[in-house]
Amino acid sequence: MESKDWVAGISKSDAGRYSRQLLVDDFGVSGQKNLKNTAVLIVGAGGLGCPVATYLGAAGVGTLGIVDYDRISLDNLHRQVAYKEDQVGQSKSQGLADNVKLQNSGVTTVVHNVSLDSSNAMEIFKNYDIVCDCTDNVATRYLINDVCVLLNIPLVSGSALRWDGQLSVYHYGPDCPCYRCLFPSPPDPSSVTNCNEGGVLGPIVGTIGSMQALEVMKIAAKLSTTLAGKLLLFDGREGKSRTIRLRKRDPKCAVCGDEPSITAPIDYMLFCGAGAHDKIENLKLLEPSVRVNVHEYQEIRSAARKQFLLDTRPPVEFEIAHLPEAIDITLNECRSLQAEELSSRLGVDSQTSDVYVICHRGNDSQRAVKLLKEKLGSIHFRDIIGGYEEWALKINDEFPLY
Amino acid sequence: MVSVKVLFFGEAFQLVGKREETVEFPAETDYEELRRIILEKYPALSKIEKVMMLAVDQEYANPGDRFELERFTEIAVIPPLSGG
Repeated sequence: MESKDWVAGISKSDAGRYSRQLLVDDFGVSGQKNLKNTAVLIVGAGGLGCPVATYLGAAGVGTLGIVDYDRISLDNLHRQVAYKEDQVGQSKSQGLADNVKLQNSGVTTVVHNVSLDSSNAMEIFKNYDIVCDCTDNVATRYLINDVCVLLNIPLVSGSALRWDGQLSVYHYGPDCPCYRCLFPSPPDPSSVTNCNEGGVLGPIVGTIGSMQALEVMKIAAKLSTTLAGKLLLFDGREGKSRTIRLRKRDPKCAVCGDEPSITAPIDYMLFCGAGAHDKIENLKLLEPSVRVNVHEYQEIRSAARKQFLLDTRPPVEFEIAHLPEAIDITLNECRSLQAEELSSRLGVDSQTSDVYVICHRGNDSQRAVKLLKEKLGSIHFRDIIGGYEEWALKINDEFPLY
Repeated sequence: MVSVKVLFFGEAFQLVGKREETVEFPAETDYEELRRIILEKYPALSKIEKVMMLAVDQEYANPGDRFELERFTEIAVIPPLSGG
């Protein structure tokens, strides 16, 4: 035997670079080699997508595809930690792929700078072994689920809002349910809160995204201890997590059941009654006669001696900024309080004829006007179109946009 | 009847305004009755009725399942989160 002979399980450069994870039981050389041969698709380059991409790139995944049509904005940066201030306005999918490549040049990155929909999802997904759902809306979650089932790809699904996170692996193994087995019909769109409205803390998406990356590494390494068939609930406020054992695959499931009715992607906006994004919808619930724009309200408040303005936003938003005359009565309180309580909170009496209603962007204020008209019929309630956001854009650019 | 802890996650917490509360249930019951009692006691949850999962002692409850509840049983009300 020559002194230069040896048996290599892994290249010298990979052994050096990944030594600390090669040393971990049950991952080791075979896990590393499998990870290098795995192509992972991340849908959504936001608060979840950033840690998923960053950790998988660093760990040496073979190919990382990133789907996102959106651009980086300043209010993303508190949680989407892969992006820098000078990247605001740039493509998220490109920015995240660049970041991964900078950290580990050995990873192949594929940028899908598109809005994922029924027409392109099959074509994009078919080249990947594992998909991560890091999206922010219900319609896209059903689309991703269905396409993963149709192409038989395991799905690592994370989600987060406020202080809470959820994590599961769908469609991985014969008994494992898919998202549709658990939620055959979509939620009522009015009951869905997204991060733009409800907010979310960076470390919550950071925790869930990091755990998604870990699930991908376990699937790639062919470990049997994944979250398939289980749902992890993370409560960051209490520092607690619980793992729920889920149902088995539903034989009657519309997509992964024994006789599926869905055999190709469907129209998910129609199915969910909501768009495939987390942007705020502009509702028109009221007649123009019960609405004023911000310019009209500015004239009204400068002409009147005392103006009644009801602010429907939750206390955390009221605290960010409000007009001095605003009285905080939330939309929920408009719903639950009796007429007398509402009158006394507002400080109105039998002489009061006009009350204006304002919220963040002009949707809840319309809902509130409808509720208030029922309870206090003698008062003329009108909402301010576009809310404080419009006020900040058109009347007072010092007013905080959030 | 037996007093059992009910936990509210995510949007269920937002709607009910409490993280947990003790609720009386018949000791022998089933999935349908659990749902009915919870929705009657917390009508605000009707908003998420279509997507509301129940888990009894950390195990997903299926329609038709029967339960024998005990003092330390925990029932979780879990709607999906969709943000990210």
